[in-house]
Amino acid sequence: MMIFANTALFIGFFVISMSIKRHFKQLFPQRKMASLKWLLIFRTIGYTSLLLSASLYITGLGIGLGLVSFFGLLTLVTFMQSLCFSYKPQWLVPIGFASILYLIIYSCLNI
Amino acid sequence: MSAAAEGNFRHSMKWLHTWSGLLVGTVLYFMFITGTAGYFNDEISRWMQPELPMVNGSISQKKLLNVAEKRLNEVASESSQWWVDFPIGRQLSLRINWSEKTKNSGGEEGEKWHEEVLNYNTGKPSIARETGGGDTLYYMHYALYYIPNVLAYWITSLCAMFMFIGLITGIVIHRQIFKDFFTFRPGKKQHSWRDMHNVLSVLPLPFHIMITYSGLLFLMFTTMQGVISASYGTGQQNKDRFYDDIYSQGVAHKGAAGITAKNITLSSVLLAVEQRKGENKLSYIGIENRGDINAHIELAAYDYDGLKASEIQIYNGVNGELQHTNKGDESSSAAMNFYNIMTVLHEGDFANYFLRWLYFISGLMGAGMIASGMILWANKRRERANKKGIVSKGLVLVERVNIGTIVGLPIAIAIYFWVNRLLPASFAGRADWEMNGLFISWALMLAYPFCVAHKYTITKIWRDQLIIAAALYGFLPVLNLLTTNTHLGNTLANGYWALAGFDLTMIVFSLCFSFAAYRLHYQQDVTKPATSSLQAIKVSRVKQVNRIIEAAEQ
Amino acid sequence: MNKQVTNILNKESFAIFLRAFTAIIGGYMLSNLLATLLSYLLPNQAGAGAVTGMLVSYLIYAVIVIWVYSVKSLRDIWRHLFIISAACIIIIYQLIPEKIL
Repeated sequence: MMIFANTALFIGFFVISMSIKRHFKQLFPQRKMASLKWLLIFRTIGYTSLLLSASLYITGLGIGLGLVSFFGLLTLVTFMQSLCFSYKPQWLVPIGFASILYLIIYSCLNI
Repeated sequence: MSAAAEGNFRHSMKWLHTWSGLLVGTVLYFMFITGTAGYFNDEISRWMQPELPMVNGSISQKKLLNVAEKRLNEVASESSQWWVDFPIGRQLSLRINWSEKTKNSGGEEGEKWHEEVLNYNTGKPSIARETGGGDTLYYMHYALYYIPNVLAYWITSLCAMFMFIGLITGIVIHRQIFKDFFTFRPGKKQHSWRDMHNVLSVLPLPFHIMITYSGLLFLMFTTMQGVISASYGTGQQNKDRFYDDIYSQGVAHKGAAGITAKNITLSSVLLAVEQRKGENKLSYIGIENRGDINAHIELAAYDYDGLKASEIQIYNGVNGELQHTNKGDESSSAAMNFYNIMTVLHEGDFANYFLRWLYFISGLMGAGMIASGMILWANKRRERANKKGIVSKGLVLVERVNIGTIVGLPIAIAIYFWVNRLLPASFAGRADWEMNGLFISWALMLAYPFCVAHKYTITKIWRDQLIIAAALYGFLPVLNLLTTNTHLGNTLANGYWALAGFDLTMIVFSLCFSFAAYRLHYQQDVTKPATSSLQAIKVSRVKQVNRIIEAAEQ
Repeated sequence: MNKQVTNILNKESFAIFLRAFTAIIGGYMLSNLLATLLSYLLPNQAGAGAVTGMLVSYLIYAVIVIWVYSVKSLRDIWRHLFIISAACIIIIYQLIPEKIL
């Protein structure tokens, strides 16, 4: 369950960052900037993913430990992403895809 | 709010944010660094007493308790309290404590506590060098050093309040809190340090708010005692009444009845508990009112259910019946529950090693937030000063104190560890001298920029201290190898991770300082007084980043 | 050549000091008064009420400091501080448990 939570956390912030103009350009230098509609969609998906991650943490570890672990991981994931944006933005999209793929494979293997 | 009014408000908040951070930045940095070290206080203490036996894996607690009881019978047969701490989790040694009734010259009765760390193979006590260990670093972050405790509480609370204001104003003025979330623009002069400051404050923001507010709460019985006095009256007696009211004792520990009775052994209780709950789970076991009819045996498992510590069980010392289970943190009022949760979050006792590292990293990010803020201010002012040709005394002071604190304090802590290894184990008062070494070296590092400022540029002084720090941290494992047998070769081979982790962390710190010194190496001109230390750093960063970008594009 | 600017005890420095003093000392006093008032008004036992007061006192303190720094006129702030403190003291005097006085 924690795998889902962590992946949801990563994807959440990743998608939110896509809704920010500067980062979108870093991630997809070829594409034109998304329209307002897409920005809102990105933000919604992103925040929902974060909420999902938080609730998975709380369900898995209890409210106290869950929230502490969630915020702790949040710091780590955002720090990693911000470093990537600064130095290697081209890594983020592959990592994003890889994490979704990993999630799918993991859930297929374990259901 | 009109645009003009809002502009004024933001301007005031910016001013407040700057000064609340700048005035006490040094103290706050000190508190963050020592407090962060405190999350690994047991591991640091263990490293600083290399003579202690290395306990690896789970040894049967039955066996350990046998050894402990035998020793306690030898030295404490008349004692009324025996306590045994098992090596489990972050408790790294088998420890026994016992009390001894004393009579001072005036005929007054008192109690003196004895402690021994046992070698579980021989059953004999280990003689380890006297040291403040990691605990002293931890105490310093709220009790400072060399000054009376209560005075220190007021000082640290005031600084924590400054920090709290700094946090709140920082959030208020950071309009683009989400736009800038991931932004860190390296190589861009002014912006890099501000971005770094933003990243280090916004990303761990939940941690910072929790730590600062809970830190204030920890000392509230001292700093806000006016509120207590308003309901209970002034004076220590009334304050004690207040404490009695808010802390539910559970079942009060009954005192000795004065009637002797044969007590069961601790081992028998352990056997019964292990049958019910499984083996090797206890944190400690102890007996009070030993030899009396009211003797009771207390024990607790080393276990945290989420944030809550595990329950304490109290058994009758004569017949072994379970008398009471104390669920610890439970309290009757919502207010105390809230207080307990906040303090538990601050201390992080419940944290397993993964979470503990997250706490540690967040703490370092907090220290970095303060450091980057101070550097940012100095650089901004230096640029302004270069344009206008006027340098204020304050700017000069801050530039130099920045070096002495931001790199100087880590150097001082490294010296603390060096002194621990270099002073002979039997040196009298060595614990005090380890701490003196820390403060003396910090004073030297603070004085150094002032002494050489007329010769060297600020950048060079930064580089010098970074190199000193890199060397001190890097050679610490080597010193360890030369002076003890708990060096990396031994600890890694045998899996003593608490000890190995310390040496490895020192190496990581050394690499960080080396990297920073290396970055400062590529600068325009070392001999000319730097117009802006940031400028010099930025130039080097631009070069670095350009090189990386070129490499990536190929 | 860079000139050294010396800070003398001039009007501007004093104004800065005065505002800081108001925020720190005045804020501390007022937050204590308001927290005490809160501890009296809560329908808890005295102990829990005092704890709640103390928990909230730091938040009140922060708000007061920010308020002191967001109003332009220091005189206005002093006026407000005085009036609110006086009101608090009067109410506290009514509510204070007899045995303390």
